[in-house]
Amino acid sequence: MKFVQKIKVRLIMGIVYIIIGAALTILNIFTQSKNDVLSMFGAIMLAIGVVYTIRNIRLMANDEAMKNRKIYENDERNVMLYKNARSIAFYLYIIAAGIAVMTLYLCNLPYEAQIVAYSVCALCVIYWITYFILRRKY
Amino acid sequence: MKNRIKEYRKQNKITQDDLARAVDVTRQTIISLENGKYNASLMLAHKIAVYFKVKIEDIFIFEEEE
Repeated sequence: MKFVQKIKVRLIMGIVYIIIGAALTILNIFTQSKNDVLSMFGAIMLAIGVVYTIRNIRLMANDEAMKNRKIYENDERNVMLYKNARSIAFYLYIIAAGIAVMTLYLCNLPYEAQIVAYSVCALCVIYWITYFILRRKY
Repeated sequence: MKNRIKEYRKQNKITQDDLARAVDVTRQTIISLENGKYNASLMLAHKIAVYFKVKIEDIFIFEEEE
């Protein structure tokens, strides 16, 4: 996908976020459900959508900014940093989850411990599936 | 892997920013390359060599790691 198309997709995503965020906020106001989670989620979606849309409109209007953004996003060192950070985050999550499972069991919270353990299993399954797909591809 | 990017850059009186723009990377990447903190991909090494009109092995010194 060309970078300009990527920015257009992001622009559309920003507008979608604004619509969802606004819908959730309006829904919460009119139904007077006092659902704090829904209200917060709506406000966050709205804020992200606005920031995302403004940023991408600016990029579309300014060729120099677009070029700089393209270089920044495709820069091989930056890509390496993203990938390394994701990889470290994955390992840290596994370690933290392992500690959490043991702690939760010790605190007599087996149900919560099970949920955390399942999340680790799901991550490992996704990892292996992705690995085998990529191995076939390259 | 050592490199002589800084040397070639100074010889040609080019700034890090100019080189970065010419080979489509950020200035930070050029800084990291010059400091030896980051090793360029084959593609980037090729682009840099083409930019300075020299062979890749003239700029990048390949050393087998122990």
